[in-house]
This record gives sequence, C-alpha cells and structure tokens, in this order.
Amino acid sequence: MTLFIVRRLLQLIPVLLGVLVIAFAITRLTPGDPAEIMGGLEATDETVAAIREDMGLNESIARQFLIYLGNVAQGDLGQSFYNGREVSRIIGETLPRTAWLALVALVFTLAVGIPTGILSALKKDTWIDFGARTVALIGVSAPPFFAGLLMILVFASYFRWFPSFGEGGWRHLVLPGITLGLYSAGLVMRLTRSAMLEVLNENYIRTARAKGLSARATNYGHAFRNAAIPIVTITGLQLGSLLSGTVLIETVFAYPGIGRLLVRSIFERDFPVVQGLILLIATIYLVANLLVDLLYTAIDPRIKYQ
Amino acid sequence: MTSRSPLLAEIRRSWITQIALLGAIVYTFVAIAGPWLAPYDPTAILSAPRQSPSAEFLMGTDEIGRDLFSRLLYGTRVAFIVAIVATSIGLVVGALLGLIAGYFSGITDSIVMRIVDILLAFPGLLLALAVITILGPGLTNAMIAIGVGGIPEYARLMRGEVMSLLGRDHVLAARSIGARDVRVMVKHLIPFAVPTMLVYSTAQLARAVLTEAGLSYLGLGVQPPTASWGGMIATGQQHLTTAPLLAVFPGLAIMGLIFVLNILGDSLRDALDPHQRGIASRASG
Repeated sequence: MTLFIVRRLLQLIPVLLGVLVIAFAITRLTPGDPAEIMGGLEATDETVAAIREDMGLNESIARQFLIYLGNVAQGDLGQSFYNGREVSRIIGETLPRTAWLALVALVFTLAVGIPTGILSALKKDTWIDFGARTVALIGVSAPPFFAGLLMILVFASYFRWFPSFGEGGWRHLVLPGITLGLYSAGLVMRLTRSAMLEVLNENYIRTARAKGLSARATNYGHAFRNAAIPIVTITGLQLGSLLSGTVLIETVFAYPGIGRLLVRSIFERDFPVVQGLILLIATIYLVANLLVDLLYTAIDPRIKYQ
Repeated sequence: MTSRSPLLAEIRRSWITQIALLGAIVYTFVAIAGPWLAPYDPTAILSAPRQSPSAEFLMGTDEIGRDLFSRLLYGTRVAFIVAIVATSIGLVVGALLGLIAGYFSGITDSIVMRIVDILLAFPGLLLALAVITILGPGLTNAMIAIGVGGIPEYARLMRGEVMSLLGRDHVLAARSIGARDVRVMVKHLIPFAVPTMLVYSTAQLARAVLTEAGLSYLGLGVQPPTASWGGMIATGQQHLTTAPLLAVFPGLAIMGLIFVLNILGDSLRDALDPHQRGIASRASG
C-alpha cells in the first residue's frame, strides 16, 4: 500500500511538470511583450528595459522556465499585470469563496444524487423511476449558465427567496451552489441507479434476502455498500469539473470567486493571474484524482495494489 | 464491421430513441437549411427592441430589434459547424496518437500517454480557456480550443481499442505475412475501431456544443454580430426581468440538442457496443 502511494506520487511528477510547462507557455506564447504590458502606456524604453531585466526576460527560455519553477516552488506566482499585486495573494482572497460554492454543490450532489438513484433502482420501472431519470437527464443536458438563469428567474425574480448575484452570507451561496451541482447530481443519480441495479442482481443479495435479512439491511448494508465504489470514483472525478464549472456559474451569478477572476483576467490579458489560476485548478484536480485512487482501497478491500 | 441490424433493432425497440432521432433530423435540417428558412437577415435591425412574439416576429425581437427566430436558426448552423469541426480535430489527432501509442507500445506509448495525462489534468472548460488565452477569442480559435480538449479521451479510447485488436487473428495473420505497419493500421485496425469512435463522438458532439455555448456566453467564443446561442443568452441575461424569452429560447434550443445527442449516444452504445459498459458509460447510461 505504501509502495503504491509512493508510486502514484512519482507518476504525478511528470504530469505536474507538463502542467507547469503549459502554464508557463501562457505568458510566453501570447502576443505582446510582458515587460511593455507591465510598464503601461507611458513607460519609457529605459523603464521597459529595467522591467524586462527584473522579470528575467533577457535569459534563455529554458532558464526562464527554471526561474519560473523556482518561484512556483516558493509560492511566488508573479504579479498581476493589471494592478501589480501578488498573484498568490489575489488567489488566496478569492479561492475560499469558490471553495464554499464547491462545497454547497458537492453536498447537493450527494444529498440529491445518491438517494434518488437508490430510490429509482428500488422502484425500477415505476413512475418514480421514470420521473427521477427524466429530471436527471435534464440536469445533465442543461447548459449550466442557462440553468443558472432559470434559477434566477424563478427563485430570485419571481419568488424573491434568494439574491440573484454577488456575495455575502449563505443566502448568496444557495442558487449558484445548486446550479453548480446540478450536472454532477444528475450524473451521480444515473450512476447510483445503474450500479444499484447491477448489484441487486448478484447472488449474495439473493442469499441475504433468503436468509431472512430485512429489506432495509439488504439494500443498505449489502447492495449500497458494493454499489458505492463507482459512486465514489465519479464524485471524486466531479471535483475537477465542479472547479472548472465555477467559471460559468460565477459569471452568471456575478460571484467573486476564482472562476470569474479567470474570465476577467483573460479579458484583461492579465496573464500571470490566468497562469496562476490554471496551475491551481489543474493541481487541485490531480490531487483530487489521486485521493480517489487511494480511497478505493479504503472502501473496497478486494482491490489490491502491487 | 458491425452490421446495421442492431442499430435498426434499437431504433425499433425504443420510442425515446425514435424521438431523439427525429429531433436530430430536425436540428440537422435547420442547420443546413437555416438561411432559407429564416424570415429575416439575422443581423438586420428591423423593428423596436424586445417585442413579444407575434405573427410578424415568431419569437419577438432581440435587445436591439433583430428577429430572434432568424438569429436562433442561424445560431443552429454556427453550433453545428463548431461542434463538427471541433469534434473532428479531437477525433483525428486523438485517434492518431492513440493508434501510434497502442501499435508501437513501449517507449512511444509511454511518451504519448504522458502527454495525454497532462492534457487530462485540465478539467472541463479549463483546457479550452488556456488555448483561448493563447490564441485569443473568436470562432476559429474556439473550434481549435474545443478540439484540443477532445484529444486525450480519443487517444485513450483508440489506444485501448488497438491493443485489444492486436491480438486478433486477422491482425496476426496480416503481420505474419509481412504486411507493413501502415497497411496493418489502415486495413486491419482503423476500420474495426470505427464503431467505438462513432459512439464516443456522439457524446463528444454534445460536449462540443455545450463548450461552444459556454465560451460564447463568456464572450470568448463566437463574436457578435454573428448569432450564437451562448452569446444570445448572455445578452438576454441583461434583460432577464423585462424580456426573459430573449434568453429562454436559445437556452431551450441548446438543451434540446444536448438532450437529443445524449439519448442518441446512449442508444448507439447499447446497439453497437454492449461490451463497453465500464464506469464511464454507466455514469451516462
């Protein structure tokens, strides 16, 4: 097991390096001289030259990448072209807001997706099953930004239950959080249903029933525990799409998290911020996937790693 | 090659597939014939802004007085072009990478798959956004950005397919009589991988439509005045309380197309690929 963890961590290194190369490329492949952008419109040639020297832009590209690696290792993601502030500080301020949003979405995904999936499987081919599957398919098919607009239209404009935009308190988290979780809830519901159906046909379920175990104990103690493995995987893998989903959701709800920051920075051509955010999201995603792999072993003792 | 009968049987069996197929035909027809069906020029300002639907303007007018219905029809065409080109980019590049990795194995395989792993580290929209940051917004760049996002999954799929095909008798026979690598690939590997690629492409088309709409909604995809569903929703959002239909009509158009593609993808998989029901397909099945 320890060996497996070590090996997975080692495998992560080349991928992480590749991600760093792509992040690095964002500031180097884009048109325009970073030093000139940094200096602003009124900067003299001397100022630009000084900035260029300061940013290490006169070095070879390989050396620039090494400098970048060193900086990232120290938590230095550079400075915003837009307002000169530390990128790591800007991200540090915005990330918690997105983390809250992702948490609400995750809770919604699990609290709605799993129970409806189980119910759908137990009541297969009834109107409950059909209704739940249709709603799940709509959840998976709805473009997140359109779902967000419908939420605003119904719950903010019509009923006036929740605010439609901005940040401040839990009420601001409800609509964007649920919208963000809509897709993954639909996915988890569909997966839970099919995983449950598959397990319910197994011999050990028939055995459990035959020995007189209650329906409740059979369904939850035996069936769901075995169906849980693919559910954990998909939910874990959804973490990444939740994070990138915030790009759209936060724009719809004008919520000041990393997603909106990313879009704004792309428009402002504030490449150090874009670079930092892309690096951050990819790293979180990679770590989440690794944790899912490790969690596997904890849930299912049948899975053995060499 | 897989015979056609399982597909026809699946269509005959499931009424939901029949509806989806009908929907796909309607959407395709609109995408092709849109310019002839549209009553007005989609970029011409015709009347007062934000009118309700009427006999003159079937879906009313948009925020500056253009015909919403005509814009919706033209938007269908834009969505189709972007989705098809982007999916093709992902398919061709990804399948080629997967073919090379699976066929030559060893070090080539390791290198190609590490590259694929790196691309896979960018979830959802993120890879497209990174490409857009480098290339800049616009229709062509959006197609490239979305296409690049499709490469890794195609590569993985193709590699798996090739590796399982390499052990089959007809491939062994071809290799043992000294067929060249390219001939084995073109004659004995690619045709057999087509059904799997086709099934996945339906899902990929849906993803491409969603990504294009998302990018255009953010203002990073198709640029105005060209009509795109995502862009129409973005401007519609500004008039959400006074004229919600501005955003609702294009939103329903996207949802309908995604719905149709998702169902068709499921049916195609059931018909052509019953053995490929792994975790990923169960999640969408």
